[in-house]
Amino acid sequence: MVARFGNGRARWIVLTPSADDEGWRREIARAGAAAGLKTQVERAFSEDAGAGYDDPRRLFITEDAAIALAARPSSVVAIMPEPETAPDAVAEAHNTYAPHSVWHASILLARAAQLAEEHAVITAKDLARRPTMLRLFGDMEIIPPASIAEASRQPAVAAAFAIYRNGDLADASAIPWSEKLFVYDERASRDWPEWGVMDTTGRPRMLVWGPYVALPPGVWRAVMRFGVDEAGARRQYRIDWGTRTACVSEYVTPGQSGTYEITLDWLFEEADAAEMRLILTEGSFMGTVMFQGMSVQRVPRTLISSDQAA
Amino acid sequence: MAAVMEDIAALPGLRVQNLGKTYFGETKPLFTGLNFELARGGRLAILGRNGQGKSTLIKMLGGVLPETEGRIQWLMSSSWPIGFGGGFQGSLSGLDNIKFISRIYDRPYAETLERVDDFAELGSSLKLPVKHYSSGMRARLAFGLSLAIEFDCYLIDELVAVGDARFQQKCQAELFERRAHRSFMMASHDTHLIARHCDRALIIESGKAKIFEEIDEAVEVYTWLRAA
Repeated sequence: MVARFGNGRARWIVLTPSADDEGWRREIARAGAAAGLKTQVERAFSEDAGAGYDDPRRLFITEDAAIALAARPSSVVAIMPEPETAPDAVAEAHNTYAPHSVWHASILLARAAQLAEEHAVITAKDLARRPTMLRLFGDMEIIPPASIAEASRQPAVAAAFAIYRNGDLADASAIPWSEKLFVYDERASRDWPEWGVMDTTGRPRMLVWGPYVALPPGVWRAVMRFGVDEAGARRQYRIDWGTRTACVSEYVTPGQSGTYEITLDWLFEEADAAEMRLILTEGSFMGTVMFQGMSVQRVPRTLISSDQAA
Repeated sequence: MAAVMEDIAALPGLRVQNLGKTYFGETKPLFTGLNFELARGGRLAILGRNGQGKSTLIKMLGGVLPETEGRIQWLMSSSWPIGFGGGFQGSLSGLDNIKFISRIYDRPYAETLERVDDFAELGSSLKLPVKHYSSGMRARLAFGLSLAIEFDCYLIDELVAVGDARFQQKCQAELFERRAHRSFMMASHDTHLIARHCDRALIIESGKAKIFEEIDEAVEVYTWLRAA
């Protein structure tokens, strides 16, 4: 848990949002003062030469790894406590609400997780072992605050954010993304009998899209599940998986009623919001689609299709 | 009293509830569970591929065919299907048929005759028995009679079936321009005509029917159905 040292620059701690924010900031400030450092919370990158980024006696705390890296720090440590509580913490800190708080929280967590390639990252899994003390930068001793996190009010969001509990994403098992995380065609979902069950009647259109939960770099495998009735099975659908600007697509005409799984891989070059789209590609009269959510899992880079690799 | 008048005006002109049709001897219904309303002044297209029941529905609404199940409730006056010649007595002349219709609808014969003759352009042929008319002449007489009597709502089944291009233009002008504020229900394969003159649509397909509040979307879906 000791980060790299550099010379002539400030140190940075990336503290991702959580229910324990206040306790962590207080403890970091105490440990910083004990090490002779002036601690400051940085909410945005400053172009000002007097910002103190070149002062080795400064310790900055930020929630966004991008700010820390832009400041060319001497060393960086990321602490990611209780990621499931990040959306609520973002909502409170930024006076926003879901789904914006979910999207915002996930990109902060994804950027922090990305630091693991070159910097020290303390994950919720590390903290779950209840260490009595963390030594950072060689001269700072932090006593982890007792967690005050409660069970999430949004179980679907909490399940999706469990992906950030473990720093070693390569070994992570598939993470479920509930159908409740996605956005639906307004008309198709207006009178739906239950969540995710849509009448496809109408012109070609996007039926489901989202969830814009950010993922760290790597090849991410999505397994999307949906059911169709007899009329719905006769229509053609397109499933996209990737980011908002680029994706891989699969066309499918089920032919028979039933439940189907579509597996698609996409290489995220950097931490970015993930988007899945379920698109009805032709006009439909009657027909029901039952979207049942999806799962995502990071897989080895060698499994990516040659199309995207090219 | 004013409140009562407002209430009546707010009522739909037509209410169709759980309407179904199964022809005698058939085991499979042509359509079932049809529900929709038509506002006064509303223009509803009826779209569907051949054999799905568009003309049957128009005839049921016009009182020509009975419903097998459900209910049709008219709260405004409605025409018989425009161009429908099934009500003519073939042995009678065109003039006698006009006289017959005038009496049924309690309209002055002379005025009705003048309007029919002016529109249908059949001249002295009106004196001949209708059974000697060509199909085109029969359709012109039927169309002329349909427009000679004023209704709140007109039922139209494939308008293009009547006469040459000039006569069709005359029909359209008479219906859609001179009667711009009346209600229409129009069954047609002509998507341009539908898109130009209707504001909602009912699509019938495989025994099921659905209302589309956007006419452009209905035309698009219908085009997909025809191409499938």
